[in-house]
Amino acid sequence: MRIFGKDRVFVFLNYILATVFLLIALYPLYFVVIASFSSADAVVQGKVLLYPQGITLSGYKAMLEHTEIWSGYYYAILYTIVGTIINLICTIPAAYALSRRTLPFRWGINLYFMITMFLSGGLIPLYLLINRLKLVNTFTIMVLLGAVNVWNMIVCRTFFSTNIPEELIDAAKIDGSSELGIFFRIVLPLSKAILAVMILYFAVGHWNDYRTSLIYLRNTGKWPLQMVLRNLLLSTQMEIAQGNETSAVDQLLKIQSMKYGVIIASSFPVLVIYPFIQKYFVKGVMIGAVKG
Amino acid sequence: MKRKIMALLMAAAMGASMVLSACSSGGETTQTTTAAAKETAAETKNTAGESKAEGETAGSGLLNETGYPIVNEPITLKVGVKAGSAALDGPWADYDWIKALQEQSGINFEFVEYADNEAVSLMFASRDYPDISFDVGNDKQIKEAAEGGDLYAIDEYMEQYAPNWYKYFQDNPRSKATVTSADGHIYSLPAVWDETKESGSSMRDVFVIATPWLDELGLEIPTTTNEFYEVLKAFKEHAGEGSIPENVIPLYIYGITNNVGGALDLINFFGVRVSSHRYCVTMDDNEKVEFNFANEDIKEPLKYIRKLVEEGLVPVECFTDSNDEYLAKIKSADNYVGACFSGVNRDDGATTVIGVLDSENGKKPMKRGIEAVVTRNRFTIYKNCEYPEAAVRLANLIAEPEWSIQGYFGMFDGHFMEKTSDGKFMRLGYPMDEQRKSSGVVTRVSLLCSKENVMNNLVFEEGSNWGEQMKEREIYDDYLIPGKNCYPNIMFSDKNASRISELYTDIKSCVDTTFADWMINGGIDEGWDAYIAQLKDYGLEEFLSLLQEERDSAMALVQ
Amino acid sequence: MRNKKMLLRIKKHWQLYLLLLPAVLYVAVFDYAPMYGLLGAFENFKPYLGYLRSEWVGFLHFERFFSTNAFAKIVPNTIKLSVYSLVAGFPIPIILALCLNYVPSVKFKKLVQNITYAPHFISVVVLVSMVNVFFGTNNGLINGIRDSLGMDRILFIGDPDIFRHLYVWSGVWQGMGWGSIIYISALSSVDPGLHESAIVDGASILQRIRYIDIPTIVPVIVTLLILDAGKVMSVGFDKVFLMQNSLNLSASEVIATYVYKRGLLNAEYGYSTAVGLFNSVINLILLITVNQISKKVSDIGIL
Repeated sequence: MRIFGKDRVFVFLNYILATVFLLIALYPLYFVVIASFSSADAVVQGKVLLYPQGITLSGYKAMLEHTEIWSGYYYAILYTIVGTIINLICTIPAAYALSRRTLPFRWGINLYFMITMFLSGGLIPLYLLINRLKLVNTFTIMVLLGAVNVWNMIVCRTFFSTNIPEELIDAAKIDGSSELGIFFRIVLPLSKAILAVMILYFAVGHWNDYRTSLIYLRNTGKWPLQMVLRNLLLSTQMEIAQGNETSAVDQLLKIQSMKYGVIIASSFPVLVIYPFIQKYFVKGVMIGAVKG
Repeated sequence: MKRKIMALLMAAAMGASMVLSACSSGGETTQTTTAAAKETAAETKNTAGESKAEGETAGSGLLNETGYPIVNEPITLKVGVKAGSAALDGPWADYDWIKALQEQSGINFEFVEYADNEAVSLMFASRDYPDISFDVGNDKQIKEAAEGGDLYAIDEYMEQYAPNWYKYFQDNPRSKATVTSADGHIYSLPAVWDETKESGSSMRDVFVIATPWLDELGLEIPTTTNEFYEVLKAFKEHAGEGSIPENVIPLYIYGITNNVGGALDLINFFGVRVSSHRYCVTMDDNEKVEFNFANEDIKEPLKYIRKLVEEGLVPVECFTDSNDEYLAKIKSADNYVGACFSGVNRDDGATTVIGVLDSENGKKPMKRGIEAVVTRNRFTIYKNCEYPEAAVRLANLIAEPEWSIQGYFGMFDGHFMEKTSDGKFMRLGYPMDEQRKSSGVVTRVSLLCSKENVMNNLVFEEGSNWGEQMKEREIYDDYLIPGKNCYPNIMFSDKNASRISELYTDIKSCVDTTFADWMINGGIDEGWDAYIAQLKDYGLEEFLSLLQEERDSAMALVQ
Repeated sequence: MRNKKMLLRIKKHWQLYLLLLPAVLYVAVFDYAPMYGLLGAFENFKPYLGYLRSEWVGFLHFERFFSTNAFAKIVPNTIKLSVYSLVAGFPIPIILALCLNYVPSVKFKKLVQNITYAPHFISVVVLVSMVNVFFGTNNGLINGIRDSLGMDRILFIGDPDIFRHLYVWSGVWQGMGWGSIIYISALSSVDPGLHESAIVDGASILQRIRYIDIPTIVPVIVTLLILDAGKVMSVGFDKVFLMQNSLNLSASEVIATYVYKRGLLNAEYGYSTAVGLFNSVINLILLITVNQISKKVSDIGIL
């Protein structure tokens, strides 16, 4: 980037601002890391501030004692990959179709989708339906539920309608492209940035989702990671809510010490994929394509 | 190149979507026919009725009327359970007790694991039932399922197939009343754990103090609230000396009204009756329901606690901490809590259980009691079940003394438990957390640990941690709030249940916010009248009259 | 004649309809088919009677909700909390995205992006315990600093007003990087040619942001703002519930936590459906209002 005199001050201040953002986000993250290596005792007493206290791996050890975690990873990855593909199939083409101003009944179809953001029959009728479709406790429901995300669809639609010029589509039509051809050969390649965002949104959505498994799975062996971890961490709450402060205090304290390690274990995979997604936010992708 | 791959991918995806949409269009019919759902619901009901008839014939062919196994050919039952906590419990299918039970009964269990109450509530709402369930469903859910004809009335089978339960209910009409629904049937068996003392109630938390610190400071164990105050002050003044750490918390209470770890016991010491009941009510001597926190006598203990807070002997965090923080503090390996109320004493010698304190106000100190012999809804048989008799016999097997006690404390394997030569059940010394992982079904299953069945025969290994624990609790026996002053453990009627919960939600939040505010900012005397007026405004009187009505009609059943 | 013309138009666009088909079908089956459950808001639902035969109670559940003592407190609390979240949380991801867009060093830019994105993955349970560790009264980091500077300790966690700040700003912290992704992506599609010519014309960076970048991302900003307006009544349950204590209850009791507490003692399907429906209707009204305003002002709307 070329920087001229009067912008020097701006860039300098901008660097400071970015650094402030960085530090604000960084310290609590650093805290999570050092807390995961510290004794639960020291964390609760506020002794862990700059470096780990009472260094111990007991939190991680306690976590790894639970072999469910490994199957949790397996199922979480499986549900995330398949679920994200289904999300993309359902959401992206629909968002594109809705971005086309020439589509008949466009307003009505938009309304058809948006109503579902506000009105829902609730869990019971949905459960009854899924039960009748014989989908309770199946792989299918784990990847199918929430296939259409209207919120993402609207964001995507906005992106298509502002970033894909109508002239481009008209030109392609004159060249004899079909609508499907335009979508697959012209629009999608031009929309890598938003596709990357959508993949990230959907994948993270699946990765963090425990509610689907909580409600529709009947077999703890098929739980995804987040559900396994939730079950591990919420034990103390459950115990006390039932009015027992049980004899299993050692176990409960062990859970305390796992709390921070669990965050690292569960978010590591999603943190790692982000840089790959980031690659698609490169400037000038689109214009180059149009000119070429 | 990349573009091509992307396009190909999307094209493949589109292809897949066609197939998918073709599949899902089959299900689309449901949209237009809400009425169809209705009909099927009615259908299920009918078939449920039929399967009962079938069940009886099918059952009698397989069933052994007496002896074991219960069935002469192995059968499989779908057993609904709540998924245990991974950290504390083992998987249901892996418990030694469950394995042995299947072997003896000849019935195989196929567990249907509900992740939490929400999943359970959907199961009931959709009537997608297992064959039998253990700890699944609350009073309301069981009652509605029974109204819908979805449950077997276990009492009809009890005399013939579950003599253990039949006898228990004959001998304990009060327990029977607490599990009998309004139509006179028993739809779900409870877990029974009868620890009641002579007074008719069992106790909750113990009061512990850091005795090593007392020794270091040359102080006696306090016996009055004034002495206790002096001790706490000494703990604070000597922070950082000897084994008293710099960040000492002289007294930790987990809020005022919390059942676990709260200050209820401290209030009891002033001779004020407060209990562990879920709705914070007790019975006065004239059998009238009283709300624990609207009693003027409570001002004295509240002022005492306020003084402790004001002088920094009770940290303000007590009123903002979460469960986790509460536990982490009182069980910390660093021992920085001087005194607290806790379900169990620490087993590292850092604290000792001490008795009640005398407030010197002329009233005898009390100790919270609770009438909690019976935990409802621990064994339910649904109309899906083709073998109701076999299921009832299974319930009876679980209620055998040996099975019930092993379900609670672990197997007779010389490690957890032992059967002594004179036929007693001896609990051996073992680390606190161990048994729950291997066989801890505890009160999640309809175990029958009544006095006659189990408790009178239960002994503890000499010198074991369990024996000590039992012994140190005995100091409270004379002070326990008697059973007749406890609000009974009953099922509420349909018409009142929702009103009671509605009123209570407002009342309780008023109590909690007001008390917490008083503890931090003072003003108990000045604020009292306004507080009582607020409670009345929130419907305290209606709340009490509804509870009275429920209690009276339930007690009428016993007589 | 008109019908025929319409049919012709539809036929002409059949491929676009094909693209819509999976989503339309999914929504029909999994969203519209179960919608009869809304009936539950008006009846005393019993599972064995089902939705069509359960006792019809009209607006009873709504009346009960409106007449409860807490109503006058929980609705304003909910709105205050979410409007504050929106006002504080909405602009920051945009500022972050614009800021990163003008960081010359690619490495530093990526670093900031990656770090600010990470907090999104911290679960609510841990986030709330971190708030307690930092803002605790006796052991908290901030109070420790205050103490060593000779200032009084403040009961952050138990103060109703401070509760709102803690709730909102911890949320901002957690969501800023994640929220900025969509803007970063939108900014990446700005035509570099526009910047080139602006630079030739001697425009400063601030001018370029004002006249090139912002107009490009305005459609995304407005879309998200409208969508957020439609969420005002739905304050998430978990975080509020975990941050709640008896001292801050006057500010922290919101609709979701109140309904939960009532349901704990005696769950009622009808009541919670009615409250949900009430929230949805308000949300819908807000969304439509903001949408109409935006259409008038900027000609951008989502409907």
